[in-house]
Amino acid sequence: MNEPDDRPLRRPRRRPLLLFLLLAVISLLLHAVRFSRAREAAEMKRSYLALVREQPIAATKARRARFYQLRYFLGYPMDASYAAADLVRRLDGIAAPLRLVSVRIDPGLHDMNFELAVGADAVARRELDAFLGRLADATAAFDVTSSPAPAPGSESRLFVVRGRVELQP
Amino acid sequence: MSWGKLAGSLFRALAALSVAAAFVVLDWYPTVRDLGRLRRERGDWERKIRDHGAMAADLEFPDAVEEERLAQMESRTRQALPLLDDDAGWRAVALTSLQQRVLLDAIPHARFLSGNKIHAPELGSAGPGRGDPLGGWIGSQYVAIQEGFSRAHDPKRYYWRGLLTGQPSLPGLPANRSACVVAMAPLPALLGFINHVSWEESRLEIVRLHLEPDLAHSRAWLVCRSSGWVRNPALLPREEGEGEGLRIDLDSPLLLRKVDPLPAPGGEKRELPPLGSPW
Repeated sequence: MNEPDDRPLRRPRRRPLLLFLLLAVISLLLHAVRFSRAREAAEMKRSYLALVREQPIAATKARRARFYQLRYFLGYPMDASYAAADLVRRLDGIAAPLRLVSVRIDPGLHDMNFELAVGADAVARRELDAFLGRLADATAAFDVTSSPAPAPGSESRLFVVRGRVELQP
Repeated sequence: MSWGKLAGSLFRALAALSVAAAFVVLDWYPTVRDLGRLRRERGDWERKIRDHGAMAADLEFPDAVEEERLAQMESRTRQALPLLDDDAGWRAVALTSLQQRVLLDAIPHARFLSGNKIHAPELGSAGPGRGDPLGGWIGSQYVAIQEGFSRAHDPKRYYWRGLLTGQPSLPGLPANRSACVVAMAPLPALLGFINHVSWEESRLEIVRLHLEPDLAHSRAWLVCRSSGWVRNPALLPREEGEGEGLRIDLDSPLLLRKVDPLPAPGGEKRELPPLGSPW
C-alpha cells in the first residue's frame, strides 16, 4: 500500500533571479535617465555654439577693442608730444615769480611723470606753496611732492617738484 | 530550524546582499554621479544661452559700414609705420623727417643723436659755420641722455608689441629704434617743435624730454622711440620682450556700440595755444 507523500513540494528557487532582475531593471532605468540627460546637455551645447557662431559677441568685442587700441597707438605719439609741450607751456605761464630752471617729462601710456627744478630768490617757501597751488589749477597734476635741492651757481634756493599729469586731460 | 538550514539561509542572504552591493558600487553610484554632473552641465549651458541672449540684446552687431571701418583701421596701421630694411635705413628715415621738421619750425640749432655712439649731424636752420652752441651742452647732459636711452630700450616700456603681432598680412615684424634730438630755439618755437616731432614719417614717440627754458634760447633734448616693420627677424634685438600692453575693459559699454568713425588721417595733429594763453 502506498503511503501518501507528506513532504511539501519543493518550489524552484526563483527569488535570487527576481532580485537580480529587479537590480538590473533599476540599472537600466538609471542608464536611460543618464542617456537622456547627456543628450539634453549635448543639445544645449550645440544650441549655444550655434548661437555663438551666428552672433559672435566675444569676437565682435575683441575686434572693437583692437580698433580702439590701434586708434590709441596711432594717436599716441602726437598725444604724447602735444601733452609734453603743453605741460611746459603751462608751467612757463605759472612759474613766475619762481624761475623754471629745468623740466623733465617722462610720458607713459596714460599719464606723464614730471620733475621740475624751480629757483627762488627770497621768501622761497611761501612762493613755492603758491606755485604748487597754481600748478594744481593749471595742470591738474596729482601725486605732487616737493623738496629743496642743492642750488647750483647763482640760484639762491632751488626746489625739485615731482608729480604726474594725465596724458589726455 | 536546523543549524544547516539556518546557515544556508544566511549564506543566501549574504550572497543577495553582495550582488546588490556590487550593483550599487559598480553601476548605480557612478551613474548617479554622472547624472549630477550632467544636470550641472545642462544648467551651465542654459545659463550661457541666457547670458548670451541678454548680451546679444545689448550689442549692436557689425554692419557693412563698421566692417569697412575695422578694415580701414588695420590698413592704416600697416601703412602708418615705415618699412625698414636695416638700422641705416631707419636712421635715414628719422634724419630726413627731423631735417624737414627743423626747417619747417625754424629751429636754428638741432642735433640728432643715435644710440651709444653719437651720430650727431647738424640739422639746424642756422646752417653750418654758425658756431656750435649745443656741443658743450650735449657733453654735460651725456649721462642723462644715456639714462633716457635706457628707458627707451626697456622692453617693459614698449607698449605695442602685442598689438602689432599675430595679425595676418602684416608687412613685417614690429621693431622699434630710439634716437635723441637736441634742439635750441626761442621757447615758443621749441615747444612747437616738440609738439611737431611726432608728425613726420618716423612717428617719434617721446620717451623722455628734458628742457631748460631761457629767455633768449631754450634748450631741450628728447629721447624718442619709433616703431617700424622689419622684414628680417635678425634685426630684432633678442631682449625685446612683452611690454605692459594696452589694456581694455571687455565689459565696457563702448564695445557694445559700433565703432566710431576713423579720425581723418593726420586729424590728431593739434597746434599749441600761444605762450601765455589761459588754459
